[in-house]
Amino acid sequence: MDRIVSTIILVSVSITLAVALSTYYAGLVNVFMRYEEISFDLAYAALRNGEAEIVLNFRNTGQEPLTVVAIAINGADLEPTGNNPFPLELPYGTKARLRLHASPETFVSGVAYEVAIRTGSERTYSKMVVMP
Amino acid sequence: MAINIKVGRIAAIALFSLLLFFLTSATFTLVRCQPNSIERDIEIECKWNGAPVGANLKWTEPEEDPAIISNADDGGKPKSGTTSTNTAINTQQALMLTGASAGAALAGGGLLVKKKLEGSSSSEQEAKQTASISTTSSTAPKYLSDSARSYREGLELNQNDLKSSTQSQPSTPKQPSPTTQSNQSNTQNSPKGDGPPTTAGQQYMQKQMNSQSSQQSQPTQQSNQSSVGNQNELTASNLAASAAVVTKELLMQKQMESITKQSASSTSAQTGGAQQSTQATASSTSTSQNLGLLASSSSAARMAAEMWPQRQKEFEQLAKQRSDLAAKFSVPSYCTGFAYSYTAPTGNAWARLQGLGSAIGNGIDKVRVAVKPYTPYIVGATCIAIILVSMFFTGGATAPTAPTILAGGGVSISIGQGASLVGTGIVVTGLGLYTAHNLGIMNYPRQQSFEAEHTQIIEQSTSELREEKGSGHYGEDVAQEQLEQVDIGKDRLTQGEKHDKSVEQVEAWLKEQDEPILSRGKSEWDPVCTKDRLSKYGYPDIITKDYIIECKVGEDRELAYSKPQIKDYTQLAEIVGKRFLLWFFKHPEPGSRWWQIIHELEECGWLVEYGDG
Repeated sequence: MDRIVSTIILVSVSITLAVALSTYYAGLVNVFMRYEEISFDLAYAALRNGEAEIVLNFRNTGQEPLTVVAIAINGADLEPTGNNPFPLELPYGTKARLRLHASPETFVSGVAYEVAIRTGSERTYSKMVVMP
Repeated sequence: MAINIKVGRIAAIALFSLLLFFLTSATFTLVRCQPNSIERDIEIECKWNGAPVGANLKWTEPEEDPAIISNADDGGKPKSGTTSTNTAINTQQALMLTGASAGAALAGGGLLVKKKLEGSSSSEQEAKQTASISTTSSTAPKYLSDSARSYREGLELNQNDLKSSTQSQPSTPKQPSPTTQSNQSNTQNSPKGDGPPTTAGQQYMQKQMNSQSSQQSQPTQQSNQSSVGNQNELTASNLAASAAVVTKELLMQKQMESITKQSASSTSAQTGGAQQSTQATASSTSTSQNLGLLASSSSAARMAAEMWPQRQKEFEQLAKQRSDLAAKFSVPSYCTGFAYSYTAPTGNAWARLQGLGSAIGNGIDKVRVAVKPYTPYIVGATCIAIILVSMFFTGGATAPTAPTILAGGGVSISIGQGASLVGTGIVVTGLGLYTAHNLGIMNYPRQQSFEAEHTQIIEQSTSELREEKGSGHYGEDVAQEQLEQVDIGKDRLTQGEKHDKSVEQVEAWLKEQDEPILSRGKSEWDPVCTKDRLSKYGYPDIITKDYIIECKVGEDRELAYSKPQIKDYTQLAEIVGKRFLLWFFKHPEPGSRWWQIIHELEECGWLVEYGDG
């Protein structure tokens, strides 16, 4: 009787431990094998109320939080004049909307602007729009 | 209650482990599935190529993320990730802590329930085991071997029976009449007795008498006297088969005395008148027949009664010897089977330090013995604690942010996950080994405990000394016999001083003969293969150019191992072309069995010389 009970326990423990450990160590692998990715949903430029604006909708489709360290337009970083909010952390799966607005003299009509998002992992995600 | 304790332990540990794993998984899942319920909106005033540019960023984030909250609430003021991560316990950590606490509480509750379910049997057993170790003078310790335990129980048995026989001596004022006594003994020894036996001796005697009474089929059993006679007859036959059982002998002696008196009374009644009943005549005849058998065993019973003080004295000596050996081998006091109180030395500092060390060692041993039954629980709880702690650390870094990692979050991940791996490995390995052992898949040998090992050494050495003497340990002077046995054992190991003197005698004789000694105690060189030694023929005491010499003291106890030696040496002498010389320290005693060997050697042409002491 003891042997039967021990066998049942051994088998059940083995199966459960196998499942639990596989899940657990798969999670461990994910911790060290996470990747970063941004997907742009839309991007456009427009003139509205006498102001030029560039709008980017993007999502953090990676497996870890995204750290935004800077935003650049045509290769030149935006320099905060007040409090510097960077780095900004965007959790995974986050949907974000970036809106850049300036005078029409700054964002000139007919010029293409490449908006880039720089992250903490030294990667740059860019999207180009043309100011109408 | 029928569940084996081992199976129960495995089940309990397995249950707790599974619970922890499920808690871990659930907590991880809970953390990852939190809803994105908070919207953030940041307005940044910037300059781009010298021109002002406004940037507005909107996003939704999981609730109460400390890194983002700190930044957002600060109005865009930057804050280091180290501070934000390490200063507060976030939701994930709180969940982990809650889960760990719940797991620990469930584990503790499970242990308590399991202990309750297993009932008082196991706990009582453990308590009894512990008690038997601590109070070693009253009960037989569990670490004693079967032979030692039976020997000790036998002594206790004899002591009980001796007490019972002393209580029923005829000279005692409260001694009942012989008939009453026999009735009482019958009632006590019969299987249908009124009460259960109260002592080990009574239990033993009841078993003996039950087996005897079941064999009896004589019609005269109806009378008390005849039943006593039959019992004594069978007791006598058993005594002949196993005379070493002193208990039986003592009881026989007691019963013999009562029967003698009964027989005398019944015989006088027969000659006195005709009013004797037929039953009484039959019983007296049966008694007289049994008395003849009893007479033959009376000497054995008397001898057994005389032996008792010697056996008790010997038992005390063995106890002292065992205690001394235990102290010599640094065996803990409870290993000796007797109370062994430690007295701290008061001489100098070093002695006091040694005493302190010994006392600490004894204390550690006591704690170890007390904790030992709970080892599986302690190991299981430790492993679970390791896992919980590691989960806590790991959980704190389950959502590593860039600043967290940069600030050393990776270190906590590594530590936590490393500890988690170690704990999981211990649990899995322990469970696997334990269960595999229970299933007989891998019967790893249990390591002998320190106490058992040294107890075995002591018993073995005692046994060897006893065997060396070649006689029983019921001599006239037990102490003297013990000393002789020790001397003999010592001589056997070192070959004794007399043997050394005999070697010196041979060396002096060889010096007179101008015979140089080639080797002492080594084997002879092979004459054919000159690089080899003929070690299979033994190691003679002295080898010279012409002689192979073996020295003996001349006592009969040497014969057991000397005969094959002499046979080998004579063969060796023939092979190497030398003469075998058997040298005695002194002439053997007249009638010694050495003389037969000496005559045979001389008849074969070998040499025998004597140093004459």
